[in-house]
Amino acid sequence: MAEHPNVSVVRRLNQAFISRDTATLFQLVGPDLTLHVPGRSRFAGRHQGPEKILGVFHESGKLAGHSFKLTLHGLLGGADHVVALQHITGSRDGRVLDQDSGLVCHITDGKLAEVWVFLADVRQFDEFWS
Amino acid sequence: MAEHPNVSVVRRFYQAFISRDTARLAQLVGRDMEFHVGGRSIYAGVHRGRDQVLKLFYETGVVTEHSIRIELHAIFGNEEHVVGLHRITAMRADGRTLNQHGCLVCHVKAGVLTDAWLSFEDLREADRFWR
Repeated sequence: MAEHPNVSVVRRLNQAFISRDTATLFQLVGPDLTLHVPGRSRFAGRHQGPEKILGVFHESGKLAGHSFKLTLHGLLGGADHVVALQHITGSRDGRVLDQDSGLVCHITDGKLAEVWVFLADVRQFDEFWS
Repeated sequence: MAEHPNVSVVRRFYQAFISRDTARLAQLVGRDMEFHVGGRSIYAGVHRGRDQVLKLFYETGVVTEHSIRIELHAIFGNEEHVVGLHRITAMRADGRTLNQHGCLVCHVKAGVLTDAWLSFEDLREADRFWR
């Protein structure tokens, strides 16, 4: 069965994120992209706009000394939602990030419009970025 | 496009949970199912085996005085995973309330759930609610 085009968009975004291909990332996100990050860390809350969100990724990459790794486990969805199931790891000054995470995505006109991050352990996530 | 049979299994699981059809739930929960609850509440962690999973549902029903309401927002999946996106609301006798989005990731095999991972949009609030 062919993959839904919206699932392909998230798959390409994941690949671009992993290979730090900023040009492709920008092509695949909408102008009002909104990212919701749970918890209480410096990255928690609602971020809007591709530049701002790229800034979040840039800052988190710097903080984690680029130890942050994302392994995609599953990608599924259709017209209304796409969900990416992933395992995230990282280490930073003795703090360890190692948990399952999910991204719930809305795609509009072939571009990523809104993303909600789900975590298995928000406290570990917050401590990691503190 | 017809729904993937695994998606139908999880859809029936949601329906059985919502309508408190315990017999139906028992049929959809695999004998060795592992139900993983996110966060750090007393219910967080892995509940192993059909009896423990059903006990979890029973106990959370009791402590919320059967006020848990689940509204299924979307459900989709494939051979490997099924994901349910829902809103959960519930109340405790002391006034604590829960009202947020949740996400259930499932593995289905031979018509039953074999693994599920439950997460909440706001895990701290969920922890405070379940404590």
